[in-house]
Order: sequence, then structure tokens, then C-alpha cells
Amino acid sequence: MTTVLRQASALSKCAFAVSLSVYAFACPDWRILVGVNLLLAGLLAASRQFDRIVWLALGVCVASLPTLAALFLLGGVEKADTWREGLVLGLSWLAVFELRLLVMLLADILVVKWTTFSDLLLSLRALRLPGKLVLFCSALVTLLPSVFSLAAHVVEVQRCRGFDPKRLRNPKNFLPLFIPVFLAQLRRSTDLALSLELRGISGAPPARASRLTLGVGDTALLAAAVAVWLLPLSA
Amino acid sequence: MIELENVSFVPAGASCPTLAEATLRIGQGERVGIVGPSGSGKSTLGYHLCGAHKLALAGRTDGRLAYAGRDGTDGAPIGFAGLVGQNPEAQLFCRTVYDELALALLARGEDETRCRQTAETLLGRYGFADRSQASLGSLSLGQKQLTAVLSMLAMEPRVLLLDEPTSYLDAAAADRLFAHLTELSRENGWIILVIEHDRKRLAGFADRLIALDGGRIVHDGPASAGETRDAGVSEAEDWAEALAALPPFSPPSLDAAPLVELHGLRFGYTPDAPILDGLDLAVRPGEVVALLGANGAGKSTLLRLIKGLGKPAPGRVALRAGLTAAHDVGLMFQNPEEQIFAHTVAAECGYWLENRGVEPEERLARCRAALAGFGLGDLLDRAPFSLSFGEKRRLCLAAILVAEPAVLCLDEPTTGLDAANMAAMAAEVRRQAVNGRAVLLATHEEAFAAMAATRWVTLANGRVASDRPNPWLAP
Repeated sequence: MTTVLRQASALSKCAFAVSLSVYAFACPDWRILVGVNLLLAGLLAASRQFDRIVWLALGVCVASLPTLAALFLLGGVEKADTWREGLVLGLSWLAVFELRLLVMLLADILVVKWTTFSDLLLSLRALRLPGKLVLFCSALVTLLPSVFSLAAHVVEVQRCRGFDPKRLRNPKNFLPLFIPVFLAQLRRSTDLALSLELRGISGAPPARASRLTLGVGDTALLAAAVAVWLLPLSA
Repeated sequence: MIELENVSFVPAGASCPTLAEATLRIGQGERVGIVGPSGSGKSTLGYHLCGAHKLALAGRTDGRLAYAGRDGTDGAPIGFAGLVGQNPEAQLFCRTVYDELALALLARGEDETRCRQTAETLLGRYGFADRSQASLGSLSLGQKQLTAVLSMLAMEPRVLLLDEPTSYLDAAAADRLFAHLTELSRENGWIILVIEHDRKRLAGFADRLIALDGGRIVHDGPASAGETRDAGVSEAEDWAEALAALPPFSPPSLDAAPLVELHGLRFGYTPDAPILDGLDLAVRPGEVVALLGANGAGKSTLLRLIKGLGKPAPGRVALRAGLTAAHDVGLMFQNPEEQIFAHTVAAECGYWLENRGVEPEERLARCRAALAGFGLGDLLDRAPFSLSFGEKRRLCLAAILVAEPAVLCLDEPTTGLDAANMAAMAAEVRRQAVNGRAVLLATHEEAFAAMAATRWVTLANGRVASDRPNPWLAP
């Protein structure tokens, strides 16, 4: 099942993720949000993609709890008549918000994990978008993963010559890392553009260039993207 | 097919041209070798010949350019030329080897069946078919270089420029590639342009040779035996002459405790596919061990483990008491583009000293001396990324040697170096050994292993397949 879904075009996957994320922010029912989260986590696990990145996302949600709790509890107390009611209200808001955030993160991770760079590129090209726009979008989408991997590489190179990574605990030491990563990202983007231009990605797609076709996976994902809106929007 | 008339190129921010008044005409089916010392403008000429100058170079091009009869001021038409640069990693973006080969074909609308056939044929020819679905991250740099070349061959361009295409390939893969290119040129009329330091390898391939010096074409003619085979000097005579000119090694002290010992090393990027599997090795002070072996044999992985960039399981890397991997092991990366990160040559060279707390004045003095030794003494304020590939390679070595580590791990140190610089590199390695350092160098350049090493260790199937003294050194 997950193999079929993974073979769907990048655009169908994006549509599924966007639809789910928007729905999550429209739906106030925590039970439905829990269900959607379980569905996304299940898809990640079934496709063997429930790795440390997913745990990192969960960690980010947990790390944001104290700040968000303070904000929501204050908001609840201000809105309710009594302290007790206010705290309960604030906690319920917090729970729903965290569940929404998690839906968005898991849906994003699902798309990133299931979509290769070439999938994305070819899907955009199949839309007959101008070549330069395809290049721009592809570079933009790969920017964050690329920056993370470059940063890890630069730290490794610096470690080889005496840099202590513990120094990065102090934000003032970010600059010596940021500049090389920025320079490397510039070069990487230039290389990406040259490589793709040479392969004819930037030119107008030829008449026989691949067109978007709806496979079983696309149909399932698009149906799910629509079907989710049939779920109730009131608690 | 390709016409250049009085073409000059001045890089942005520079006043001198890196290519001056080049006039050339190259016809269908020609196999052209481009040679010259490091920084002579070979890559710049190559980019202009394949019409990728606007994409790949920042600067001003003057003169007339034409590709297949069309004006080429703004470059060649899309799909006209394929190009593989010196840094193969720079042009690989997909997840698997197959994705990389199929990308250009899918983009122009070929169906999946045709893409699979093309990829299978190409990969099969190079004995690489079983790695079709391998993640690019799991490949060695040599395997990545092969993937980059094959992804361009899959496009079937009319002109193919390969910049040092065999720099990371083992001898067997390099021979296979040149035989294949010859076939493609003869049968399909492709123009193949190859920038290569190894003139002997070019001799069996190119039918025309263009030599550059200081940005100018100093020779353009048939690649006759005299041009490429060094006037009949045999390989053995060539090496013997080079060896005689090098500083001698000190006799190795067999009683001295090894500086680095490897015990039962096992390591793999995935648990079920170990690259190293029970490897044992010891290197004493004054020894230079050349690690030889096919692409993917684990040479680079071994050097990374010695530097502490990976943890063997099981197995152990033991340094002599008092030494640490962080302080006393210097690792020069295989790809200089991956090692360089600072904004000036001086900053790059002095980075390790800075982290050790060396005062700026002393740091600068030591950097000046180290860089001068590699012919980079005048480039202290230059941006390292603007250097030629060979200059970057020398900078990377200077940035390691300046900190005087006890153990040196050099990964393919001669990539992108011409014969003179390769001999200079060998002399430097010998000097380091004489000073009591232990040196391990991964290389597939037999000439360099002959000049620089005291021992030849061949890796195969994750183990030491042979360990013998350098056969080129007198007993």
C-alpha cells in the first residue's frame, strides 16, 4: 500500500499534505486530530521512515510546550470566569494546538521522505512551468535539507582541524559556521543550476515531455485530501 | 561543429585573461585532449568549447563562438553538450544511481522502459549494475565520478567535455571509460573533449592535442606519439628519473613502536554491507603506506576511521600513547572542494593553528612558510574557491602540514596535479616521513605510490590483500 502511495507524483503528495494541514487548523475536535496524527505516524512507520527526524520533530513539539503552555493558560484565564475554568480552557487549547502542529510536521515529513528531488523536478516540469521557475522551486525546496547537510559537513571538516563542536552551544560561535555554510550553499546552488541546465531542465519542455498521469497512488492521495473535509468541523 | 575565433575570457574581478585569443575549429567525431600545467586555463577553454561558459564561469568572454553553425555568444543550445567537472559530487542531486542516470531522459519525455534499458546497458558495461538502486551517499568518490560520467553519457550529447574524468577512478574503470568514449566517437560522431594531466592515458585515446600555457594555446595538432608519449621515454625510465630526483627516505626503524595500529577493523555504512571487515595494519614513524585498491575498496573509509570520523564495530584504532586523533592526526580530504571553507587562503591554512591558540603573528609566519613551499606564497589574501583545482589541492595539504601532526592521512593527494606538482608532492611526503611522521596515502596513481611510499598495501574485500615494500625502491 505505502509503495503505491510513494510512487504517486510529488504534486499529489503535496496536495495531500496541504489539505491535511489546513484541515487540522480548521478542526477543533482533538479526537479527530489524534486520529489524523496516528494515520500519518502509521504511514511513516509502514514505509520504514519513522526515524530520528520524526523523533526530532516530536522533540521540537515537546520543547515548545512550556512557552506555549504559558501563553495558552494566560489566555484561558483571561477568557474564563474562574481560575480553574481558565486553566482547563487553556490546557484544552494547548492540546489542540499541539496536535495541529504535529499534523503539519508529520505531513511535511511524509512528503519530504516520500519525494525524491527528481520526482519533484519532473512533476513541476510536467505542469509545463517555465524551466527557470522549475529550477528555482527545486532549489528552494531542497534549500533546508541541503543547508543542514552542508552545516554537518562543515562542522566535520572544522573538527578535523581542532574545532570543538561544544563551542556551538554559545550562539556567538555560529558565525564561523554560518559563513562557510552560506558560501557552500551558494556554490551548491550554482552547481545545481549548471547540472540541471546541462540536462535540459531549464529549457521549454519538448512536446513529448512527460505529462502528469494519475496513478493509483495519486488517486488515493487526492481522494484522501478531499475526503478529510467530509469529517466534522465542529467539536 | 565548434568554432572559436579570438576568444578571450577575463574572470570577474580579475584584470588578466585566463584564456587569451583562442582560435579553434573542431569537427564531428574528433577526440581532443586538452593538456597544460595547473591553472593554465584548460577548464576555461573546455567550458567555451562546449558552450557552457555563460553557465559555469563568471566573467567576460570576447571573440566569436559558434556551435553547429549557430552563434554561440550566449552558449550552446540545450542538449548540445554534456559536461563532467572536476568535482563529481557537485553535479549529483538524486537519491539513487538510477535516478541520476534517468533524470535527463525523463525530463525530455523518454518513457521509463527506455530509461531502464539505457541505465542497465551503461551500468552493466562498467560492472556497476548491482549498484543501480544504491544511494549516492553510500558510494565512494570514484563511484560517484563514474555515476556523473554515465549520467552525461545517458543524455547522448553531441559534444562531451570531461574534466579530469579519471582522477578518482581505478585503472580498470579508467581504461574501460576511454575505450567506451573512443567507440562512441567513432560510431556516433560525438566530439569528446578530455582535460587530463595523464598524457600517457591520453596517448591511446586522443587524435588531437591542444596544449595551453598561461591561458594561451601553445600547441594544437595531431596527438602523435612524440606529443603524448614523452618522446619515447618508457614508463620505467620516466619513474626511475623521477625517483632519483627525490629526497631519500631514512631507513625505517623496525624497533620503533607504531604510531598507528589498526586491529580487526570492521566498518560499513549499512550493517549488512561492511566496507572494512577485519582489517589489521600498523604504521611506524618514517613509514609511508600507499593504500591501493579498486574504487569502493575502503581506502577513504580507513583514513576517516584513523581520524576518528567513524567508529569501527568491532575493532580498534590505536594511536601511540600520548597521541589523540583530534590533535595528532591530519586528514586531507579526497575532494579539496569538500575541505575548503574559509574566506582567504591564509585563514584556511591557519585554521588548525587558530584552534590551537597560536598567536596571529606566529600563525601568519607559519602559514607563509607552508604556503610558499607549495608555490602559494603570493596568494594569502585570495579567496580559496577562486584557485585552480591543483592549487586548492596544494592548499589543503599545506593547511594540514602547518600544524605538524604526527600521523598524516592523505586521500588521493595527487588528483588534479600535473607531473611536476605530483613529484613535488612526493618530495614533500618523503620529507614528512624523514621527520618521523607516519603517512598513509590512498591513491590509485601507481606513479605516485612508486615515488612517495615505502610500503604498498592493497585492500580488497575489506581486508589487506597484500602488504609489500615499494617495488620501485632499491632494496
